[in-house]
Amino acid sequence: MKKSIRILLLCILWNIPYSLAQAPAEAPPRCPAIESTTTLTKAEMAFCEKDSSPEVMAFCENLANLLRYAKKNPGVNTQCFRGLEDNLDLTGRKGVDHFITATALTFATKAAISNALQTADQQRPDQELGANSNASGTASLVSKAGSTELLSFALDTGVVTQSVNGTTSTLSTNADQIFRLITKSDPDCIVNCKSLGWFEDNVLNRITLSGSLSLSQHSSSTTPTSGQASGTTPTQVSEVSVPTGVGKLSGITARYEVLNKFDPRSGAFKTAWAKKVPGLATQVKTIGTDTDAVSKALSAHEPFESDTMTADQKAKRDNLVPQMLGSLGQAAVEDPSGQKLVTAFESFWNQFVTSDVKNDSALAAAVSKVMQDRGIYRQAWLKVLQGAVGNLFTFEYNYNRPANQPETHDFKLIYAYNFKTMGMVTFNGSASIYGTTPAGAKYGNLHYGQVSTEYDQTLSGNGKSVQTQLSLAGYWQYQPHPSVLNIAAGTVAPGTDIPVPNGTQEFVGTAGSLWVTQAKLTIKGSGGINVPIGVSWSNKTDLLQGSKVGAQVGLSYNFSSLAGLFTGGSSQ
Amino acid sequence: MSADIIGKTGANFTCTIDSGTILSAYLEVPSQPVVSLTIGGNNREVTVPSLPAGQSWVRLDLVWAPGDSDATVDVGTVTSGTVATAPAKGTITDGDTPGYIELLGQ
Repeated sequence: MKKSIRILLLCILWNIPYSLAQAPAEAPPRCPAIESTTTLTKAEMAFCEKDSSPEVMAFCENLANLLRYAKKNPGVNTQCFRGLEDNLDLTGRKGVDHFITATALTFATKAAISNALQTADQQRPDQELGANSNASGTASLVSKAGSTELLSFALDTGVVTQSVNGTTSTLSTNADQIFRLITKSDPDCIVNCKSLGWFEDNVLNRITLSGSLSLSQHSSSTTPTSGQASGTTPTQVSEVSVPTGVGKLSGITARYEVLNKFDPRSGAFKTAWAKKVPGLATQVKTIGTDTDAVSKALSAHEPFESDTMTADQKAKRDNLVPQMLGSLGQAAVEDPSGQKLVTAFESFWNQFVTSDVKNDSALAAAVSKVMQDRGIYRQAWLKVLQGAVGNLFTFEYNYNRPANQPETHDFKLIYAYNFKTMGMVTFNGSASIYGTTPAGAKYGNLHYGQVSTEYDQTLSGNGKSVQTQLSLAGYWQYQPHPSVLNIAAGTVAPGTDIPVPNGTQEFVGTAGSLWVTQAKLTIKGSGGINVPIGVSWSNKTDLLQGSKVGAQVGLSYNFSSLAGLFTGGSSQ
Repeated sequence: MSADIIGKTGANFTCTIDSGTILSAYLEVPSQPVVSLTIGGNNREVTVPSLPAGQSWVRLDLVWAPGDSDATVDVGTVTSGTVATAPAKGTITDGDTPGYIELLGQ
């Protein structure tokens, strides 16, 4: 009996602590606030920003936020990580945005973005892809304010201000996009791209560089000879020109897009932004609806969130997912370097993003659609931003090497005003100076000054795969002295056998005003292909007197995104 | 079960965010049609007229301005019922659209 009482007492005592622990409801922990107003620094994101896995890169900001919280709040209750862990839940709605970003490459949707960007680019009347008006092969009389976004190639033939007719190929590129490509720094980001610093924002992002190659100018080198190989001419030739290339660099251009200064925190900017933002309603709604479609496609894969889960499936998910998310918080606490967190996240990803998910064609199509939406939204967002900060000014510098003429440095200011459905007007003002003036030159450094204007209007096919754009342009150039022509070494004076001394220059043509007008039709095909066809009239050209009517034709290809660069932008 | 906002089923309240601009908002309840929500409070507040039972989501179609930070989710005005945020408030990463707020009606 005594033994039974003792056992009973022991059982009661054994159970007391357990009962006490269970009795009171657990009070919610007091969690320190999440520091959401302070932007993550480059150092805070260094552990994941350039990871080789697209999923780690896509979720990097969320991983960095979790790590920051763990480091700043040591010993905090694990429940406090919940909000930040949920953003890493790739199996639920909160992680779907970044899931799409991470899998875009897997589902080969970058080409889809490229196509969407090219479609959006097709609508733009402000991009300058070809050579300058003073090139020997050009279809442009007026330089446009906008530039290529990544890379463009243009081939133009026909002249507008020069006497020497030729064919020029021009390769243009944006410095920032190339920088992002080389450094693998988020090259296809949508909006609020993570800035790499002041230099990128204010220098690289605004600079476009282009080089023009005159395909009809053959380059050559002078070399001494060693006697005649044939013939009976008594005059000895001491040196000859040897051809060394079929094309010659005719100009280098650097363009800097000068945005009106703005501060995103200023009242003026906020007011302007608030006015413009409703214009994005359709695009963000489309992204939202199509993102929901991705969630729906994912719900076919266990344990992704689903409306039609059975009780067993739900219980399994409720057990598994919080456990995985909890392991992320734990990893952030244990290793301040973030390496354990990356490893834990990779494990989470690999467990759920199985080959079934990767091979789901319905999911691939849904992800592809969102990526296209994002591409179009990005264009619209940038347009709204541009509208909020004011009109665009571009400064252009052109180092020009015309055939048989002194090299020049041209400085140009370009201003564009878009009347939207009423078309766009572009103004240019520039000055050209000679690079070097030889001793005894009878002209100064100033080559000419010019002003010009162009009106562009989409004629037909707005929103269709092939569009046409009409451009009407006027150009006035004033030159204080006639043009200067270099006389090549070895040239013999007409009617004599007296060679002209090396470095001789002659004035050719007349000083004064040069007028040019041009009408141009640009056929804009899908996929970034443009074909400008122009007709111009000028009262003279740089070297020759008399009016001239000329025709210009070109072909350009605009790579709008990195995907377009490598895939041609047409494959899906 | 965790959620950003937990409350009594049927509660009428507003959810707020402190960054970004809401252009459209929808209540997504499992196996039910999506319902459009009213936006207010300088485009940073949406009204949930009746908190559904169980798990549901508010989808926010957002636009982010340059310099915007991550948004913290909170409860604004509670007109009827009881509603509270989780101890660790939910956040929406800047640049993300759509953003989701998870609700739990008990």
